[in-house]
Amino acid sequence: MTSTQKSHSAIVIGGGSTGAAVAHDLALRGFEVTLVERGEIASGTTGRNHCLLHSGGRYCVNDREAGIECIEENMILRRIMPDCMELNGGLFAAFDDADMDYLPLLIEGCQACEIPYKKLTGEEARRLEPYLSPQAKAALWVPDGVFEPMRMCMAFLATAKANGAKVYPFTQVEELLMEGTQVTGVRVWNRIANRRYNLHAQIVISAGGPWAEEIAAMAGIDVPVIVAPGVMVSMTGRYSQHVINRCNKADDGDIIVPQRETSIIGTSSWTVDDPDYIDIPEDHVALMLDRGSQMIPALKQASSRGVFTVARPLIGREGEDEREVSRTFECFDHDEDGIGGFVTISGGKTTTARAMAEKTVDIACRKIGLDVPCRTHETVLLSYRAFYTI
Amino acid sequence: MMWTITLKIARYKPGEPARTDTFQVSIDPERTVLDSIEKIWAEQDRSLVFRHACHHASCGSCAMVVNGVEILPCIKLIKDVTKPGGTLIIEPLHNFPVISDLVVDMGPFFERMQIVKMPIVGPADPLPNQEPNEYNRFDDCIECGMCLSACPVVATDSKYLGPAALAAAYQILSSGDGNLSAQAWEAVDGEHGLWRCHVAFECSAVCPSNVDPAGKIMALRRRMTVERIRHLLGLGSSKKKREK
Ligand SMILES: Cc1cc2nc3c(=O)[nH]c(=O)nc-3n(C[C@H](O)[C@H](O)[C@H](O)COP(=O)(O)OP(=O)(O)OC[C@H]3O[C@@H](n4cnc5c(N)ncnc54)[C@H](O)[C@@H]3O)c2cc1C
Ligand code: SF4
Repeated sequence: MTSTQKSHSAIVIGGGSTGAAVAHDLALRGFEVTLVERGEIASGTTGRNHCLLHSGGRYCVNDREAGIECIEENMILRRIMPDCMELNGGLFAAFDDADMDYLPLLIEGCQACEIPYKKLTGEEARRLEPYLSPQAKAALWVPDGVFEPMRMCMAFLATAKANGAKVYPFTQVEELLMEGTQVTGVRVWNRIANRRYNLHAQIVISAGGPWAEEIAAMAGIDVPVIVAPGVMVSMTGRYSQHVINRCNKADDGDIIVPQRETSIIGTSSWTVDDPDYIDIPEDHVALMLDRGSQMIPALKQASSRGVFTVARPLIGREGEDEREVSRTFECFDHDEDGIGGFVTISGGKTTTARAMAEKTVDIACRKIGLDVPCRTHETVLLSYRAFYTI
Repeated sequence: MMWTITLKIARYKPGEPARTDTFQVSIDPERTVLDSIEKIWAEQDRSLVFRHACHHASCGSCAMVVNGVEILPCIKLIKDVTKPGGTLIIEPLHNFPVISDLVVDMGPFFERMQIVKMPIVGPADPLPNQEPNEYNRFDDCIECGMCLSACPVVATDSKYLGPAALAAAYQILSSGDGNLSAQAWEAVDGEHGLWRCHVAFECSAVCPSNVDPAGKIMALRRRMTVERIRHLLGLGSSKKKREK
């Protein structure tokens, strides 16, 4: 098709963590790859998330599958992209009796998912993190980390570009091109040049996050995505080195993520129809400050640097309780819907983007009868800066 | 409460003449300038392009010029830059090639950051009363490019290494085991390096992340002067002495 002479080709829709990891995996397995993203890289859900490299502690009690995925990927990402992360661990801190009741469940969950942990007394936790509330009765140390999501995507994409991938930001898919029941490419609107044209490939992979439903609908397919935003409040000042989680079941304002000189309190959860622009419910901000300062009281005096929100792409039907929907991911081979050459990957987390990509590219390979093993778990990525200079 | 404000946004598409488009948007003044631009994109004009990702001053991508001043619109509240019925004039960063609308080419900037190789993650200072430990954190510099946009020297010398890279060089040299590569030395001490700085301090005034590039360039000059004298006297680098 082009001068690179690769025999297999794929188009990836979406330049969030999922699409970036998929493009990298495809390029490593020898595909001719074109990634199109309607905005800047990571301008969807990924860039605006809470920046937590999950240890799996948040999920190991109720959602073991997601817990295991997180710890496995956490260990891999540390190796392959060391310069995108602050790695200082996390604490699940217990402040009241209900939290103390949750602690044994959390320990059991960590054991079941093989998440390394260490039990600390309240006093030990406060020696590690002096700003922690004096109410802290105990804490569990886990290997949480903090990433910079845009740089993470850039690192995947810099490496993909070095392996021949073409990456086009500000290029929006408006139509899936079809020949009968086969998807053969995409019609895009290049918003930089204000031009429209067609791109063709053997396989089109939608990594559209909360927009996956909209993209699949272009081929007349229904992909069930619940669009569930959360609010985060970024506070001036660093009040901990560890990520501070509330030792209880997932709830509003149950985590404080330190990053550079800020502390980000999050998050809440509700559902909306349109992820393009989300109004921030005012009471959610007050709730974050209230719940966050229960864990770190000094946050009450800190000033807010900014409030932001973005929507999770959860796989599930409208009407399901969004907090109960599994945080694992799902890859849809639309052969099952009678449409060839088209795959959707959605759900999951930024922490598990590499694993999501591995599964997706396994499916893409199977579809075209290619047998090339995945190598992303052992391939150290280039610096994200190379994204701009390659 | 909602305010209606006007945004006059610089528009440019390759092959077309540059123009300014005027939009009115109704928005909660507690939200940010970036939110107002995203709202215009979502509700009024999908051809508008701008860079953004983290919305909390960490990725550095959304930097632009608003009412003549470099800002990071993701942490600038509407209420802090205008009033009900007010107008914001929105332009891309200065001193960078414009790709389209508010999007500039960051390639040359990152090439320079790559020459100096500022470490992205470094040691984190312990918090008050915290047991010493080996904590780490991202560097203050978020590589937003605002300092280059505000710098009068970059405006006249497009090859000038620029405040961010020079500040990074100083930081590397003054860190425990810091060392610059030969290529980095050449760039820092060369024709387009630190001696070009006019000490305008514009960079430090606009930096959203307290890097104080101007202060670091001054410190770097003092350091280099000492290095040069030592070199002339055949004394070798002062660096070795500093290591315990
Ligand atoms: C509030 C919140 C906090 C979170 N915190 C964390 C966390 O701390 N750690 C973690 O690991 N995960 C976290 N997550 C989950 C994680 O952010 C998401 O699962 C992940 O970012 C999804 O990535 P994605 O690439 O699938 O989607 P996205 O990042 O949304 O990428 C999809 C991309 O597709 C693009 N697109 C859409 N339509 C088109 C089109 N027609 N043409 C071209 N491009 C198109 C969009 O612009 C977008 O950039 C959080 C999620 C939320 C909502
Ligand atoms: S020194 Fe400051 S203004 Fe310059 S790129 Fe870094 S953060 Fe931005």
